[in-house]
Amino acid sequence: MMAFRRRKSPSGRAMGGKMLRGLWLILVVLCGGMWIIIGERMDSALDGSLDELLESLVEYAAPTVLAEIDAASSPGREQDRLSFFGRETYFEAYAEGSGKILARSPSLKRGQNLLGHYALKKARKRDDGWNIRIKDRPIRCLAHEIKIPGMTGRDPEKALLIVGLDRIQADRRWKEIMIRSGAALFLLLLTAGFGVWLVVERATKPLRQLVHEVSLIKPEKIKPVSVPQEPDLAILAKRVNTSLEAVARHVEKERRFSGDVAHELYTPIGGLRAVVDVALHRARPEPELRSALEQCGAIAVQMQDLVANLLNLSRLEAGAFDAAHEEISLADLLNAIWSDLEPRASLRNVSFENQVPPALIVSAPPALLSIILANLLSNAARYARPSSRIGAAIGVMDTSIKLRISNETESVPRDLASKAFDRFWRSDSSRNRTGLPPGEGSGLGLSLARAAADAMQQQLDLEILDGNTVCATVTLQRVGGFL
Amino acid sequence: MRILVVEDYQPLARSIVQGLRECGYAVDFSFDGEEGLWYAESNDYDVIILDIMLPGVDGLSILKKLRAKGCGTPILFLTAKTTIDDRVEGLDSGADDYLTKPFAFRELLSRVSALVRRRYEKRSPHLQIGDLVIDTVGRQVSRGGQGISLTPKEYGLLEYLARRAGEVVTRSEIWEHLYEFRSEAISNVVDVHISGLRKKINQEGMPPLIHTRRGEGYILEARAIDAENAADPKS
Repeated sequence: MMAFRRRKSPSGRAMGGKMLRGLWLILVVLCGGMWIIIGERMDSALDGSLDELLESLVEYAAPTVLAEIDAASSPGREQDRLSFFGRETYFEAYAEGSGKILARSPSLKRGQNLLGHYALKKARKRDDGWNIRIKDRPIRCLAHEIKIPGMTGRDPEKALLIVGLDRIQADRRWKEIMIRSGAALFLLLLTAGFGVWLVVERATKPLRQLVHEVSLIKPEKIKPVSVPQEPDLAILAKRVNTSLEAVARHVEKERRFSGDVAHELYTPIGGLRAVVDVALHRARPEPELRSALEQCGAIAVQMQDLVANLLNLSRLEAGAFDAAHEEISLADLLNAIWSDLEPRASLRNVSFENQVPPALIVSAPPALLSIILANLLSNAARYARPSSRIGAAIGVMDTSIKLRISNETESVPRDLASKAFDRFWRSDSSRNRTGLPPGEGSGLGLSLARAAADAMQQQLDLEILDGNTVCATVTLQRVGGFL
Repeated sequence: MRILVVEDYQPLARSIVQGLRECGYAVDFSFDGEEGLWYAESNDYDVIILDIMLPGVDGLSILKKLRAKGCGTPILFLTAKTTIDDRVEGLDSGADDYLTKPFAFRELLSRVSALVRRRYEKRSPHLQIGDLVIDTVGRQVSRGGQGISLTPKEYGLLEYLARRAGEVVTRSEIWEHLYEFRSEAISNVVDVHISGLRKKINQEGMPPLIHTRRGEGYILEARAIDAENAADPKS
């Protein structure tokens, strides 16, 4: 019955409990129905047996009854008591035509008759018996036609002999059997229900444990579930853990990203506030105020660029950029991007050697390709060793090319290859590198480039060559012109 | 008072340095962790303002190295990291205070002032030597109820002497605590500033408060007039 007790339970137990209740109820209904049907059949069989007994009784009773009738019609003749008709047996004889009672057993008192609610005519037509109650005693009756010898000179008459048998003992036995069988069946159902519940409880315990552990998982607290010993559940638990690990990494990554975004924005906001606070701290001449405002403007531009990069990253990951391909001259695009970077790079004597054939045409979404190349080149310019050269070269495959942009650096961080594409990762904590304006190097450039490459369904990798040379490789679809 | 600022975000660093100098502090600064560590190890600062995310050596590492060497200079962390864990880590590592970006410059100023008071074990924001009263929060000076107007450098010098009132302060100590690392070395600049300060606070009819100890330095204290004449004819 524990399966039916209402409790606060994990969904697994509730589900199992409902199933068990449902199954148990179905079983109870089926068994109950069968018990009733069997009871009815037994009752019918009992009636049948009684009818057979009554038929036998009729055979033996008929001559005696006839004799009784004859004695009754012949005054002076002593009526033979139907001694073998004990208290449990009854008879009545009805004249066919008139319905007059010709003979009755002594066990029938005045006002009692075996017809019960049946009419004589109906009783005549029945092949089987019927049940009546006389003073709360159940009686089984059976009708049989007999011929009464006629009076001298008269034709024999037909009479209907109804014999009855007290069935109270039989009924009691039947009831006893039914009660005992019912009780046994009930106990059996209880035991079976308990047994099934126990088996199901034990069998589903690992599953419920797993469901319970999964239900406790929250986004802020993701921990692996325990692996059961059952092979099927073990596979399920391991799959769940694999998914949880991925979710945990993603949640951590998003949490870290949110923290990084706040951190990255707080720094220029802190700068803005400090510039304004100090400017307002005392009365100042106009040139000083102008200088402070110019600083604020530069910081605002930096924040604008940061937010723009974040939005671009978000849009790239959402697939919101136009991915329609156009034919682009790769060499021209590289040169155009470098022309924006050259003034600052030249301060450190960093140059760019573009070895991409001018005739080479690639097919790519222009906006996405520009994001990739602009970030790769600006990264190269930022970290290139002074007086070094940034190189752009290609490797040819069947329908694609690999564009390689390489630069020498003063030192290569150990975790560059694994972390370079992480958001807000910088080779050191610097926000002001190699003389470039404050705010450059937000740590989003390579993340943007990777996101753009993913949107183009192309590959972008970073590798370290010869110790201090960093090479970024992006695969592009070739259209024509080249060799 | 001499302060070191180590912050790699230049607009912020320059603003802090400018604001502190205008308040009379001598301020050295660096945009780099390694250089900042060198500054901190080479000079005795009254307060060090340290960013956590620095190129080269990060702020927490700088703090731990300084504390390992027994440096007790009060250190105030500046950072954009706002979580409780970050703050606890910084303070548990030995920082004396923690200020998250963005912040009001006035708040930075107050915290620096509090750290300076703590360093010299003068808890009250008011310093009094005789009838000279210095309000270190409002940076106001008065004597005998009369306000005295001082330049930022003069105020810084007076506050330093007042925090060490009754002690002899050498010229080199004054130099270290009131002038930036890159200041031009002028041999008698301290004497010039002391002279200017004396003229302003030694009002007519009032006993002098800044006394010269020949061969040693200067001392700020209130003395009886007879004892004053016997001890220091020059003042």
